[in-house]
Amino acid sequence: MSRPLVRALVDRLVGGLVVLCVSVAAIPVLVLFLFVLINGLPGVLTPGFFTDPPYPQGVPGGGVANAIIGTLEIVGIGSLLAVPVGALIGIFLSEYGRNQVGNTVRFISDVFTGLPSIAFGIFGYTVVVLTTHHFSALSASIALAVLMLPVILRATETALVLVPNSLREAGLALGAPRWRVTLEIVVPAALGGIVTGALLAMARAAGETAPLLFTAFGNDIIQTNPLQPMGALSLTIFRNALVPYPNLQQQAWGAALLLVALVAATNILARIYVRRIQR
Amino acid sequence: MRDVDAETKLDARHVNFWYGDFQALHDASLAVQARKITALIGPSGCGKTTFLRIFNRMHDLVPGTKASGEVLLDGHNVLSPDTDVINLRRQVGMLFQRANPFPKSIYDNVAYGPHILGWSKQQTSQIVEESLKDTGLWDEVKDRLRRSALNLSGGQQQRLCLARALAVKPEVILMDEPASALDPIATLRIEELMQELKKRYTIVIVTHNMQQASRVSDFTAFMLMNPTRAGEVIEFGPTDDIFNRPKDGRTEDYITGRFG
Amino acid sequence: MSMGTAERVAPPPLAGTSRRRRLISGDRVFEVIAYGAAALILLIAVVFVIALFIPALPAITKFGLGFFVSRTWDPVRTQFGALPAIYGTLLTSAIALVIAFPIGLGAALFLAEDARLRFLRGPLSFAIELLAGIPSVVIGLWAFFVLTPLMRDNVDPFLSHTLGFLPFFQGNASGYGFLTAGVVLAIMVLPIMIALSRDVIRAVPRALREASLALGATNAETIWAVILPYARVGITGAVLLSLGRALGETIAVTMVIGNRPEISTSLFASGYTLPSVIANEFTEAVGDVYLGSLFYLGVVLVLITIAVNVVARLLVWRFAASETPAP
Repeated sequence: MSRPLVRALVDRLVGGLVVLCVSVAAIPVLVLFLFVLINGLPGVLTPGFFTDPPYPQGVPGGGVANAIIGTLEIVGIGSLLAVPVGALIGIFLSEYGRNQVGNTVRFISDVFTGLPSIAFGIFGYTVVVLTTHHFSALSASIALAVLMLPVILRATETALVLVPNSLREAGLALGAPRWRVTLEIVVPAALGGIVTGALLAMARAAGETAPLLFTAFGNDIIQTNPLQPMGALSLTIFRNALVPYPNLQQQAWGAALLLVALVAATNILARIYVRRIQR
Repeated sequence: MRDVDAETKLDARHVNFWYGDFQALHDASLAVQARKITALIGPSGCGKTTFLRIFNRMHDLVPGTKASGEVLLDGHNVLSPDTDVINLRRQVGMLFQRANPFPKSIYDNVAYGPHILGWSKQQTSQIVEESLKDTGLWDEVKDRLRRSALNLSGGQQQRLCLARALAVKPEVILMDEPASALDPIATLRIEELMQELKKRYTIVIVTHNMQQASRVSDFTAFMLMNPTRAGEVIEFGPTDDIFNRPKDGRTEDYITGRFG
Repeated sequence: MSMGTAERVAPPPLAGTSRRRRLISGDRVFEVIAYGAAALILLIAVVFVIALFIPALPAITKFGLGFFVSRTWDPVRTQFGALPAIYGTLLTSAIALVIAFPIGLGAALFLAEDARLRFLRGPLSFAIELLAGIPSVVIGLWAFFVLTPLMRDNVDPFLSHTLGFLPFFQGNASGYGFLTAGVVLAIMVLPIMIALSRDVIRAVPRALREASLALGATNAETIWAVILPYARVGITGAVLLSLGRALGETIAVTMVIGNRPEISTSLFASGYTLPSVIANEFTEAVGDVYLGSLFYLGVVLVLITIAVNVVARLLVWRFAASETPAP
């Protein structure tokens, strides 16, 4: 075969391969969505899914009310801890952090981002469970808070850095002190980005399982006391998958559907927001 | 070079300025007259904006800068370390090259200054109306005060920024090429505004547009970069004198367009 | 132009231009709070490290560094070693990268610069981004019910049939094991591999690409001879960061790896990874040494992950620095 022909063929081949690769890459998500939807809908639509706690193994029926409340409460408390602190650190990095202290904070934040999520569970375990001698939602919230912190902090810093300097100058030129310019002009201008970052962090936390294994530990009754062990959607999925009872497995799929819906909704919201500010 | 018989509002004396090791201004002096418009003209890079931003201590925002000499506002040296910079910036307002309204409502933009000063809601709404009227915006925006300022046209935004600056009742207004990003009609409106405002405010305007300077200002200072690239005030006087009877050959060259 | 109402608001009293000696200035307070928040994260980091080691102490004192090379994992005789778990971790991660690297790189090439089918770029990017957000436990659930039978009934027999002469593909396939876990990890690692590679490829200067094309080179040749060599360091960084992610993945892997502390050359065999041991045996662990060994594994995991991430960041940093043009 002539050389130009070979080259053209190779080019075509590589071009095709590349398209194949990206198609293959897109398949898992579609497959996952499909299976979760198909298997999860019957679970979600079962009466009692949202209102009942799980019944003992072998007893038909039941639901995931304990897990829904648990996830909401654990992530809620964790967010109450992580969002203000993370936003404040983000403000620090953006407005005062162009120095060694700031770089150290960013480095630590990056290291945290790369840690396996189970490590945060160990943190929560040592700091709370070992000291209080029992499992609790609070220990899980603290573990998740530390997990969310770097995400929120980075998102906040990015959002603040994007605010044009001309706004800061305008505020200062009016005779506003720096802290007012930061809190009353810069932060409100960046609020959308900060909120988006926080929501994404919260959605991620809601899906975490490993940090909860030895902190919240799980609970089959509906529990709202944060000092007690508590159930969560992710724990339900993890544990129910491995038991041979169809109603429990179905509840696992239903819980998975809830989590996936949450993730999809937050991602879509985030995309919409990004598109809006790019206008 | 200095004309001190009328009332001097802002008196810059032998100001030198450095960005780190680089000297950007050399021995610059200027006596800005109260309730008059003073223009700073000169080719780009001659230090006009640098000089202007010293008057309200905006150079503090850039690390590594140093200024020597004196800038007297009603007798007190603005450059001295015990100056209350916050209050200074209220007395000496600034209009920037590109309009920079806050991403808030029109009302909240103008009200921001009074809000910081802690004025009552009633005082604030009165002064917002006053300021918007003073910049000719009131009739255009009075029905949409709560709408975002970012929806206004470029010229309107710049006038809004002016109203915002006026709302804190300054005595001096510094303008850094305020019309350079605007179309001719919007520019003309700004110039008309300036004529009205000078009855109550002292205005210093940096402009690269000579025709604008000669149209609008009462006094003009011509600046130039010296061989070491530091800016200097070459000549200063009544606009009429500078443009028609310049004393320095370099001024004349610039005016007649031989360079710059 | 109106000049305002007759009664104008009076200007505020001239406080003069001397500094008000404020004991507590708003700026100062705010600065202290901001620095305080920064100090807080430093504190958390220190406590974090300590918190990792404390529960592991009983095992550290008993086994010392021999823990890393011991093959035994015997709860009955309280003799524990990390080697099976380390082996499993490295093996599954390797499988994941072998699968995810070519697919990810190809996908990144498409998303970064392919001129064809541009309209697909957005939706495809979004789909891959969504994958990154799906919780590990959901992927594990799917893998447990769907992927495992698929592997057991279709993929494993096929591999055993065609490549069975290799020790990797011998032995019984139950569907649970290193290979399945590797596939699951590949799926989870794909989004980050693609995102990072895409950024690296995008960073290759257009001028280089255009120079190659202008010389008459095909796209394929340009990719091979110009883009990939230039992006080599950055892509290595991307691979390492993906590895870091794979190492720490716990739940999805636990659900399909079979959970047996064994070292085996067969990819079909069941095994363990560092995090999956902890997840799987925590509820059964009794006694300080047993529990401590689990947490010792956690320490090992964190150390390996940090090491990989630091190297990865150094590489990526070097790549970013090298691409800025010389003055």
